[in-house]
Parts: sequence; C-alpha cells; structure tokens
Amino acid sequence: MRTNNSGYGIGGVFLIAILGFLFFIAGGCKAPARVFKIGVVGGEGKNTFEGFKAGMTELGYVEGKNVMYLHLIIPQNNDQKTGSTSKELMSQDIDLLLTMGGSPLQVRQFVKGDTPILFAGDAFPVESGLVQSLKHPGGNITGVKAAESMSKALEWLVRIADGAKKIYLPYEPDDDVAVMQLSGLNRAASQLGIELVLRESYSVEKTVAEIEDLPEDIDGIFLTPSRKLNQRSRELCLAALKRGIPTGAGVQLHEDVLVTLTNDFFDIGKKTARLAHQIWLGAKPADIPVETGEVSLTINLKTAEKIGILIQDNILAQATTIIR
Amino acid sequence: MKISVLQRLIIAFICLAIFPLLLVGGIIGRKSYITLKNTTIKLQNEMGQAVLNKVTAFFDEIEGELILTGKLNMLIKEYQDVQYDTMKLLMSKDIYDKLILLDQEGQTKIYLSRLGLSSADKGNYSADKEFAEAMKSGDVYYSPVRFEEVSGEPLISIAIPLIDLRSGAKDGALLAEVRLKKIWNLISEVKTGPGQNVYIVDAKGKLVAHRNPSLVLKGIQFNVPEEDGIHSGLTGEKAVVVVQRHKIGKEEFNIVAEQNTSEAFALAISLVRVTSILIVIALLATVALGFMIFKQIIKPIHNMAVTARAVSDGDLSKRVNVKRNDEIGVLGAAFNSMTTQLKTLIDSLEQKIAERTSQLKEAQAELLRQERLATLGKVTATIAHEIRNPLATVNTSIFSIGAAIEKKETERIKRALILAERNIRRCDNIITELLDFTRKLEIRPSMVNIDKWVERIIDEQTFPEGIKCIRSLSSGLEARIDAEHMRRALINVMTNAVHALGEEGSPGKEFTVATAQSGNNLEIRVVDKGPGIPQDVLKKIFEPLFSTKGFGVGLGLSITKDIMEKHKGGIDVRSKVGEGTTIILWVPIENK
Repeated sequence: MRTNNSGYGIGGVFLIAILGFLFFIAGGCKAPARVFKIGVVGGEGKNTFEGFKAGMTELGYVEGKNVMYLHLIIPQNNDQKTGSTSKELMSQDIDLLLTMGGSPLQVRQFVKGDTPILFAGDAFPVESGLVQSLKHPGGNITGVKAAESMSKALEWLVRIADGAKKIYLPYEPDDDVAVMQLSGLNRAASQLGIELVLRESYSVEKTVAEIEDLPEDIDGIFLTPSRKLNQRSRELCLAALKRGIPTGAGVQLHEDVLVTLTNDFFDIGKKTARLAHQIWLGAKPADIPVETGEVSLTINLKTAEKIGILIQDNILAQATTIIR
Repeated sequence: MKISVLQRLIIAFICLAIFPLLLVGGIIGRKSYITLKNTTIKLQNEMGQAVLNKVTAFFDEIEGELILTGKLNMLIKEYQDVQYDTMKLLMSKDIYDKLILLDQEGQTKIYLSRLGLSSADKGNYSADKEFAEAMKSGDVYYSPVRFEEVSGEPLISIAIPLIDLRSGAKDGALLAEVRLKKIWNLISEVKTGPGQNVYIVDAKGKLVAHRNPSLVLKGIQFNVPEEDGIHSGLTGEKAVVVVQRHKIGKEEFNIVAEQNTSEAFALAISLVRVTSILIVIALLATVALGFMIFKQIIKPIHNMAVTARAVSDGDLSKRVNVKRNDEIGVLGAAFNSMTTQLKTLIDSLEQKIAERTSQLKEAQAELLRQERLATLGKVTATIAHEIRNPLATVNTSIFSIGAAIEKKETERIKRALILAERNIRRCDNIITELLDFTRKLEIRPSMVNIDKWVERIIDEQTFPEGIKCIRSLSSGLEARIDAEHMRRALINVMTNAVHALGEEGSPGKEFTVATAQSGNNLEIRVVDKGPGIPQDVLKKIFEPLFSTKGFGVGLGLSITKDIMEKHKGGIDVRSKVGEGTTIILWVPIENK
C-alpha cells in the first residue's frame, strides 16, 4: 500500500527551520570583529604615540588583531611630506587620523569627508582655529591639547638662574606656534622683571653660532616650540653648555636642557587613546571636548654641575624628575 | 459551538506547552528581576561606597596638609622665604591650581600658580567669600564647585583659617584652589562591570568627576533621584541608580553609581528571551505539528466524516480514499468494507421488501375482492330477502285479486291492491335507500321554519293504529337546511321510533317529536317509550346494513348520520333498555 509522506516532508522542513533559528540565536553566525584602522602622522610625537598605543592596549586593543596603525611616518618637519603622507593615508580608507605635534591644520586639508581627526599635544588649538572652543570643538576634529606652560617654564629658568635679567630666546619666524608664544612670554618677562632677547632663527647652524657668540650679559637661554630648532636642540644645548649658560624650555627637548617644564606627552597620548576609543564607539569628535595635558618639571643636575650652578634643595624638592 | 479535532489539539498544546512555559518564564523572570534589582542596588552601593572612601580620603589628605601647612606658616611666619618654599613644595603636588597665603586683612602674602607666574597676583582677597567665611567661622571652608571657563575643568576652593596659637586670633588664611580633575583618576581606579558607572555630581547636579573626562568637560547636568532604584542614567538610558550623599564642608556631593538595566537585568532578560524563543519554537512546532496532523490525521478523518455523512444521507456509492498502512488506513478500509456490506444488505432488503410489498398488494387485492364479494353477498342477500317478501306479498295479492275477480269480491280486490301497492312501495323504498346510500350526497340548503317544517312532515306520515305522536314544536327557529334530505333523516328516525313502539314488550305506545335550541344548536328530538337499545347493539346502529329488525336493509341510521354530518351537525342516541330511546338530530344555528 502506498503511503502519503508529503506531511512528513513539510514537517522536516519546519524542523530544519527551527534548528536553523536556534543556531542563529545561539550566535553560530557571529560576524568577525572589525579592525580599527588608525592613520598616524606627526613629527615630534614618538613619546605621544607610545602613550597612545599604551592607552589603546589598556582599552583592549591589540595591534594586528583589532587595531592597525598605518604609515607611521615622521616627516621631519617637512610640510610637503606631511601633506603627501596624509593623502596616502586617506587612500587607505582609515577610520581615524591621529596627528601628533606637527601641524594638524595642514593635515586637516587632506582629510577626506568626515574622517575623524585626533590631535595630541597641540598647544593652541583654539587660537590656531583648529577647533571652535575646547568645550565644543565642532567639525571632525578634537584631541588633547598641551597645557600652556611657557611662562611658568620661563619663571623656573629665572628662579634657577638666580638673578637672571637677560634671557636669549631664538625662534623661527615662519613657525606659527613659535610666534604665537611670543606675546605671552613678553608679558611674563615683564612681570618677572627680566628682558627677553628675541632672535629670529633661519637655520640651526646660525643659531648655534649665535649662542656661541652671545654677549656676557645673557643669563639664560629659553627654548620654545620651534620645529627645526627643537629637532636639533642637542646642538643648541651643547653650545649653551660650552658657554656655561643655563637653558630652560617649555617643550620636551634634549635632556641636557637644565630645566624643562613641559607636558607629559606620554600621558597626552594615553588620554588621546581614550578619545579614539570613544570615536570608535560612535561618538562624534565635535561632541568630545578637548582635554588638557599635565605638566611636569624636570631638572638636570648634571647640566647644572657642568655649568657650575648650584640648585637649592628647596627647588629640587619641587621637581617631578631630577636627572642626576 | 462546534470545535474541530485540530482546534482541540491546538488548545491542548497551548494549555500543556505554551501556558506552562509562559507561567514558569513569568515567575522566574519576575523573581530574577527582583533579586537582580536588589543585588544590583547592593553592588552599586558598594561601588559608590568605594568611591566615597577614596574621595573622602582625598579631601581629608588635602585638608590635613593644608591645615598642617597653615600651622607651619604660623610657626615660621617670620621667615617668609621658608614659607614660600614650603608652599612651593605643596604646590609641586600638582593637585593645586593656586595656593595663596593671605594676612588677616586679606592681603596676599604669597601667591603661587601651577601654570601662571607666582608673582602675578598680589591682590586683596578680603572681599572673597572663601576668605571671609574662613575668617568669620574659624573653620575650614569649602566653596561650591566651579568650572574653569576655557577648559571646563572643575575646581574647588578651600580656605584654611590661620589661628594664632596663643591668642586664638585669626591671623590670616591659606587659600587653595584644588583641581578636582585629580578625582577622575580615583574614579578610574574603581573596577566596574559591564554597563556600570560611577560618578560625582555637585549639589546643583553638575557632573564633577567621571572616568570619561569628556562628559565632565561637556558640563553635563544630572537630575539626582530622591530614591535609589530604576531611573534615567547619566546618558539617558534606564539604569539602576544608587546615590550616596556626602558633605565636604557645607557642600554636598552626590556619588552616583549606576548600571544599565540591560546589563543589570541581563539574566532576567535572557530568561525572558529564552522563554520567548521557546514559545516561538513551540508555536512553530505547533504549526508544523498541526500541519502534519492535518495532513496525516485530520484530513483523512475529515474525508471519512464527509463520506460517512454522504453514506448516512443514502449515497452508498461513496468510498474513503485512504491508501495507508497505519490505523487510519485500516479504519478507512474497514469503513469502505462496511459501506459495501451495507449497500449489499440494503439492496437485498429492498429486493425483499419489493417482493413482500408485491405479495402484500396481491393479498390486499384478494382480501378486497373477497370483502367486496362478501359485501355483495350480504347486500344481495339483504336485498333479495327484503325484496322477496314484498314481492311474495304482491304475488299473493295478485293471486287474491284473481280469485276475488272470479268471485267478484270488490272489497277483497281493493285490500289486495292496497297490500300490493304497499309492498311495491316498500320495494321502491328499499331501492331508494340503496341509491341514497351509494349516491354522492349533495346538500342544497334553504331557509326553513323548523317548527312548521317538522309539523308538516309529521302530518304527512301515517302511523300504525294505537301509536301516538306527541308534538312539542316550540323552538321558533329558522335554519338553513336541505329540507328534502333532512326530511328523509327525520322520517328515518320517526320510523325507527314507530318500529320500536310496535315491538313486543314495549312499555308505551307514544313517541314525542320536539324542537328546541340547545346552546348554539338546533335540536330535533324524537323520544320513544320503546324497549330501548342494548349497549352492544347501540355501538353498531350506524353501521350500514346493520338491523335488528326482521325487515329493512339497515341503511336508515347510516344515511341519517351522513345527512346530519353534511349539515355540519350530528346525531346523538341515548337509550336505556326498558325505558326508551331518545334520538337527537342537531345542526348548528349558524346554518340559519
């Protein structure tokens, strides 16, 4: 006798559908995790980038697994190079562009569409027009700014070079950041009762030569963020050492600088990583306020010894780091 | 309401599978919800307490070192350089944005700034609330939280009064601007689970500290709930929110610990989800099962039911189309076999019934024929008997006439002629009765004065000698009757009365004919004092051809009854043996 099995067939299809549904519910078809592609540009940002990577690791990102850093190129203050690097990064379809030091303003020109940009360590994001305000950056850019510590750094140099009256300050006239610092420093010098001897610098070599020929009444050399000079600060420090002139800086330079009050760029990098994480989770840069870095005081006792300055214990007690 | 087998199965499945699932899921979900809510509140409390401890320690430490610095400054107030270095040392902690030492007039003695120049401000703070409050109360004063205008970072001012140890006089104050940003790190150190957050808001509900500094810098406002429980969290999502209120100085801080309900109730949600999935699966299984049951069981049963209905309605040609090996196949085959057997049986029965019917019809026809023959025999015998006697009399009369003619006895001829005539009339009456009985009776009514009509009929009758007819005709009624047929009926009844009075043993020799109204009927009563009719005879008096007399065909009362019924009336007979008989002919008065 023939048996009608069509009902069993349809029932079987239903059972397979139910099993498929259960498999789906059980998460059998999990999509692979996306990789966070971060483009990185910057000239003086090695410390910052290390901090950034450390911060990303703390947040659970593993390089090569769920995060990828693309084209880390140190453009050596070459604006053209920075631009081409940025263009190249854009062609890689990155999720975020991280700029460290360098010139985020220039980088921004090459960023396509709404690709988020994070800056790490820029000192004047509002003044340079990078963001609308620290609380409400607007646009597609935000980041962690460096705390403004130039005046205070100058004050520390004056305190350490006890009785200093004349401070030599070389700067690059074509460096916007360097120029922007001048008015504040002049104001501070006035309050401190000292004279700032400002000198435009067009080449490191000339500046080194100028240091070697500084008049005797120059009591100290103060170094500000000037890209070319900063890159070769060791040469400047050596020249100052030769002359026995105390050096001070409001930016992280060669460790031979006698007193440095500067931002903790490693910490800035870590803070920036937190912002990157927020952006990866869907936050818009425009809604993420710009954070400010922390400063630290470093005193190099070796340099002090070399130039024959005795730094009092009460000052050393206030330093974050003492290089002995 | 008719419920099909499929519907019953679905209801049974829902009752046995889905309803218990819903019930168990609901109970477990609710229990889990309550337990998880309490547990989450407890956990948030613990987390909030951990932050509170850290924050309290933070402020205790700051307050302690500021008080100590203040006391130290009092001890070394003669040595301003040392005071300066002491405060510089304190400043290097990076917690303070500013440290200002003020004299009792509020004038700056030492001004230190974290990023600004230390010599920048030498102003007078006597009008500042912090200084004024500390100097007035002699206690540590905490200002409300304020937010740095550019960066949005939170700051709080602490004023420590400097008390002269001997005089107790307030000698000045130490003013510190504390960076609450440092608390952010404390909060970050607290371990949090998924969806958990802990943060601090000031008395105005403004976010002061959070592990995500961006939220603080944005200046987010949070409505602190009055009670712990489920509320909108900081980001607006529903969360289990627990608040611990704490005062630092006179300023209230709220340490808020929250966990998103989606995380807090993940287990309960998971239970509900699993239950929902099981219900969906159960529903899908019900559909699949229902479909299978429909295809495999219900549909064949339905087909069998339709076929059975058709068979019960008489269509024995229908068969169930089930070709299976299971019970339903066996049932279908058995049903088909039974239907076939039933059809065979019914066909056989119909054949037998047809045969029996034919036999019955033949028997009935034979019976009818025999009955007709018997009736014909009876009628023939009755007529023969009834006609033979008058004919014999007529014959005798004719013989007598012949003999009387020879003897010329005129009187004898006359008597014989009268006798002959009477018997010929009698034969004629018998024939008339027979014709009346067989002919279809047609009533042609006309309005008749009953009393006069009865009077006239009585007058026309010749009654045997010695029998008296008493008349009581006072009804005064008129009625629509067929006078000829009614006359016949009345004469029949009167004739019966006369015959009864003529019988031997009759107690009286008179009868009464009366007319009267009884209710809505006209009654003509014929009452005789004859011997009466026995009960066994009374039952048969209306049967045709029944007669107790030695003469007559026995059709009189049968015809009378027929006439009265044709007038929508009737004939009633009341009789008692030895006392007489009353016969009532009645018709409705509406016949009028």
